[in-house]
Amino acid sequence: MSIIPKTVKRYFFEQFKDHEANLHELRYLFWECTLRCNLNCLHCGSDCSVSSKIEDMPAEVFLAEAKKIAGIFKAELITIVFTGGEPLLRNDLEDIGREVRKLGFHWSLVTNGLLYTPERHKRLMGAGMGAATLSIDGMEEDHNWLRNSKNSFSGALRTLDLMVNEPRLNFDVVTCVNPRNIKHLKEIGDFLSKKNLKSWRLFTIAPKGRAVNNENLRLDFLQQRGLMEFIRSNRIIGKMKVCFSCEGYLGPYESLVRDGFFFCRAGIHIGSILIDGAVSACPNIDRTMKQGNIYQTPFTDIWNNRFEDMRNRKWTKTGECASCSEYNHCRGSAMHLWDYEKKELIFCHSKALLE
Amino acid sequence: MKLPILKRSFLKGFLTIFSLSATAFIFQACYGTPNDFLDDACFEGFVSTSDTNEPIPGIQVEIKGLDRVDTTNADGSYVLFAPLDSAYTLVFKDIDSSANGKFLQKEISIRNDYRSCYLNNVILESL
Repeated sequence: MSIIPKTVKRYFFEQFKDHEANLHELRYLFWECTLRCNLNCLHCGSDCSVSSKIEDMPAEVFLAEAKKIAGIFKAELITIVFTGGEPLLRNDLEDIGREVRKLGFHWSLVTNGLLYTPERHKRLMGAGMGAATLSIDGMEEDHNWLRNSKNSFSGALRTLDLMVNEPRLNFDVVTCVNPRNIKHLKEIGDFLSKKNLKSWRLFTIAPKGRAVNNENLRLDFLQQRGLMEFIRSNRIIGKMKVCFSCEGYLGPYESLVRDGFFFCRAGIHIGSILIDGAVSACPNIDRTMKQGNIYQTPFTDIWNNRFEDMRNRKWTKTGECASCSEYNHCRGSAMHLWDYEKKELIFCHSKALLE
Repeated sequence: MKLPILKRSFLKGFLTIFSLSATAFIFQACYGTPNDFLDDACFEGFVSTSDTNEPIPGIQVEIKGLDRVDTTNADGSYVLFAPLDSAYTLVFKDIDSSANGKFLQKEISIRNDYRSCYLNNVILESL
């Protein structure tokens, strides 16, 4: 139990958020390196496909941009996250990783694990990969159902075994909680803990991508509360830390299911280079919110001169948010939950937990 | 709430120091990976033949005891990263049969002298 009252902590945290928005130092750069994917997950927010119509960004285009970024920002403080699609579908991933590591950046990978073999593991680690996130959405039957593939679980397990045995890798597993797997969270947690996993992150499905038209994937009020209560009472399982992802402001569960208060850092510390060269904050943010394109303007110029609506979020005080008593702490929740054109919050976690 | 200038500048200084540690070590984007801040040692160089001094592509370079592998490019170059340790052994193996000639395996030992990068050009003898 902390001796500092929550209101004092919150006051300083609000000051801290303003300060950080003012400084807006890039610390985390997503690169959407492909939209191709070897799975067809029911909940995919990217809406990827096996053969995307949009071609992968050429390595030399991204590396030229990375060089410019390293010339202006502190590369050693920035993690470049290779995301997709499934990044491992790119055969040049290790070459690109090696080059960005030579420039001083750290780099990491978000993967479904299907293509992660022992040989690939050695090459990725040799290329300086420092962090990774693997999706495991339940025990075999539930995972394969959500991932829409009967081989998916075995691939994810092989990857889990390789990654947990690599002490250099800062690694976690994410689980997308849905009405089907929520009954088995304790079983999944015990299983992952026995595998010596150190960090497990749970998230829910945002009504985006393929999930927009699939009501069966979303948790109802009791399930949302049940998930929060599960995390609150199981922050540690064995030696494994358990937390909720930072996907939104959680009202009554703030700081109980995560380390610290909610802070959406999109456009403040987090930027992204999307498949077509567009520059945004996180890749899952409404694409009408893009801030420029590296084919016309260097990323560094866009980062330094744009992103006004993410660094000053007063425009989010609209609709239901305008009269919400939590607004001063929430500040419009997470950017990816906004329909930017309609200026409408598409999902409020806090409200969903209080209804 | 408005604060006097002195208090504001104190708060600003406090938050600047706080932000260096906080932003550097804590956060993680919602659908991203954990941050990485650990240092690595880097090993790079060229592999060539003892006969003609020509570069050899397709040689597998491995750090013994660690899962770290690279294969030399057309110009014979390799780059590998590994966690900081007191000593390393690099193993150079011809794995592509006779595609670029056949070469004897070679091992070199490297003691950590706190450099961030170790340059090792290696010459392999033909079988």
